[in-house]
Amino acid sequence: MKKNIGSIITTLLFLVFIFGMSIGTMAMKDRDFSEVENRNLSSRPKLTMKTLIDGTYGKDLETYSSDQLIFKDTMVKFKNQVLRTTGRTRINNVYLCKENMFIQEYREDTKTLTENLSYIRDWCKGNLDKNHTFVCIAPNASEIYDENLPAADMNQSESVSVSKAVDILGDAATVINPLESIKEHKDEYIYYRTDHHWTMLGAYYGYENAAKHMGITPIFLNDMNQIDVSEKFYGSLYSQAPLMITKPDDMTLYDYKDLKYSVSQLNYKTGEVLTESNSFIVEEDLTKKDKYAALFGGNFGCVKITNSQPNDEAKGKSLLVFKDSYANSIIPYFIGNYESITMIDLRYFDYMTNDISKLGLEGKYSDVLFMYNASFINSDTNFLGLEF
Amino acid sequence: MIFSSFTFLLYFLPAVLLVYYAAPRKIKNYVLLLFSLVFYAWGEPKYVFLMILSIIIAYLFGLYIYNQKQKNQIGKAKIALAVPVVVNIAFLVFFKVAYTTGMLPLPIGISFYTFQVMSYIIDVYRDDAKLQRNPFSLGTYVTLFPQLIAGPIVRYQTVADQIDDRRETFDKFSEGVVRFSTGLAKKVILANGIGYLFTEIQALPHNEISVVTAWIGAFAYTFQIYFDFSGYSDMAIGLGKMFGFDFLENFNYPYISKSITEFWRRWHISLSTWFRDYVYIPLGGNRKGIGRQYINIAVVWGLTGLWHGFGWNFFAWGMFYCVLLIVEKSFLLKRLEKIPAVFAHIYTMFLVIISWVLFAIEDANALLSYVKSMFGIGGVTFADNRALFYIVNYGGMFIIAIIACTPITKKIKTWVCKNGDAIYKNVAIPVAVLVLLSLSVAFLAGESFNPFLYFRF
Repeated sequence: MKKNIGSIITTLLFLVFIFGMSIGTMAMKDRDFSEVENRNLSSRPKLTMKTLIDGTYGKDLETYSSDQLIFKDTMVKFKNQVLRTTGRTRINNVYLCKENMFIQEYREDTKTLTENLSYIRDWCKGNLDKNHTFVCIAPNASEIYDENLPAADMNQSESVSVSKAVDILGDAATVINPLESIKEHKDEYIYYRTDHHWTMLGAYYGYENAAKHMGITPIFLNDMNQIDVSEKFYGSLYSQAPLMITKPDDMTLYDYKDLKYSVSQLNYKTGEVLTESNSFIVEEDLTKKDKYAALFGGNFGCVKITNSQPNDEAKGKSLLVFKDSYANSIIPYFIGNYESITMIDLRYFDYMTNDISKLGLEGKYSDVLFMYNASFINSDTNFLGLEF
Repeated sequence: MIFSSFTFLLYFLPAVLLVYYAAPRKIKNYVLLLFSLVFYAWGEPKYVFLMILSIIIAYLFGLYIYNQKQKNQIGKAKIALAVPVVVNIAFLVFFKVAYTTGMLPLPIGISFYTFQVMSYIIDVYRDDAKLQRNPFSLGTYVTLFPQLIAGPIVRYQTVADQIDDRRETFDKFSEGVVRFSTGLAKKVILANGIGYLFTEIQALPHNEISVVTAWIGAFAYTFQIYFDFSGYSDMAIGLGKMFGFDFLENFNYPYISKSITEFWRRWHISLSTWFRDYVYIPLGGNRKGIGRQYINIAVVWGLTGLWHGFGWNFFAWGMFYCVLLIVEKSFLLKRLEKIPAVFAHIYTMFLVIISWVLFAIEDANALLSYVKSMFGIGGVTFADNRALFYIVNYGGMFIIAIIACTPITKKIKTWVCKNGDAIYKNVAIPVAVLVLLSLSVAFLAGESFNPFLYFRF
């Protein structure tokens, strides 16, 4: 019987594994959302004669089973870690770089990029003049930390794209390229390790540079309150390529010491106020996984910031901002420079019912700022809204 | 349904194991038949009836053939043989053409079960196998889910006795577990991981494919098709063992071959032996002179190509091997045996890789473009940044793939079993199985790319 022991062990091991995985998965309560992967998980599909016969039940059951698999998060991280061990340096367009840094790949999508820049140019031409129209293109980490990228990479430089922006926007707007200013501070914590955004510190250096072009006096960072809000921020890039061994991010925000201001989400057309707050920091998002949303609570169609104590320079001045999520880190610094700031995110703005193409003239804004990161202009598909 | 899915691993497999081993001996075949029909119908609810029809025809005509032969009515028996054979070939040709022209989806496994059904009826006619009087047993044989979708093509005579007389043992089950785990890992980790590379490279604009990149892509497909197909065969054989069946091997480390002749004794063995026994030998094989032999070889290889797909590239692929085999048979093989093994190996793999490119790309222009890239024709750079990127990113996995193509793990296993303590045998193998299963589940869980190449056959 001795020679059978191995067979018995192998058999039992297999049965325990298969039945354990099966029973474990079925017994555990379904999750709606995966914090690690930052996505919704599918729920149990309904079994009907139709879906069984046409195959959709089978597909949905497979997706559901994979999503709700016992130890799913661990399995996903384990796979990526094993891939990394075999030499893989890029997973899901995210480079796994030294010093625990994730860097999103940038590759120019010339068609989309030039289309978007054309939409911006067309809007600018129909609104305020070049001296009051600014397009600030924030660099991404891949540009600042290109030497952190792995030995062989397919990443492209953003400078080619930025020159295209300068060419296309030409006389329609003032292009602000804060790359060099930000790069001087690359040894400081200016980009998140696990997220595709810049930190508020990195955004500050962008603001410093933009202020020069915009003719406003930049506030000093030392005059603001430094608030360390988290040491356990696992950002968007981590969710694209979760690993077992990761160093999370610290999150530090800067808010005003004395200045009183209010932040409201608005229905632009009716002016109806949907929410109101006295700070751009939304604390309850700090307890969730996507801590970056602590800035303004995320992205909304229209957000208005009103400065209740404008100084002489700010009095009477209003700023219109077309934004992406990078803007959430930098716009707070502008609060003291204007009496009001209106932020519009084209991804969530109802441009069908608003005359967006003439917005710059209608709202009596002093300045217009397009605040986007390079990767967004290269890929987003909502700039079409500017034509409405 | 496919083995490398959670539907199979979490629900189907535990259920069929539980019910099978709980059922009394007399019911066990019915359990397999029922579960196999569910397994098949899961993906193809309508086409399951086509398969059942094929089985019923084979069963009825099998009976008739047997009876006619008992009465010495050979003529009638011959006609009776022709009917199911023609019907199955007609099904196969019809659906392959319909699929190639994009009119209908291809019924899963049709190339496999039609060949199995034909093997039954031909074996009964030739007295190579006993008539199966129980239609459900015949059904069990044809639909047996381990080999239903992607082979191996199990000849009726191989399992005829096992259908009604087999014993499940811990030893056999354990062997099955090892085979299944190995196959699953090959498919989910190696085939899927490397296969994606070829898909990506092939889609690149022509001027972005350097010579090195083109070869990396060709190697990637070469690995993908081997690990996909042999992995599936491993799982099939492994699952067979779990239910007490012994199927024949379908792959025997084909990429260590030192000649094309040897390659085809190691690749998709069940298909080449099927064609040998049911086409080549009946046509006369090599017993009717050299001219006739070459014709017979050409017929077999033309059919082999078309079995894979009704496209010109599959036919050309078959004829490519036809020519090579004839050349080797006439004089080259003897020369190959005299040169150092490494050169013979390089010669073989070079041709095999080229043949896979022909097999993989169905569009003539795309194929020509790709081959140009492989040989640096038409202003293609030799190596570029992208090629370097692929080498760095996939090199590790390629090395693992190369090792997995050789019998080295088999040799280690044999050595461990011989020299090591019994404890090693009782620990090393279970541990290896656990590692393979865990990795496979992890790779499957983190997956977005899980194609199945032989699904179109």
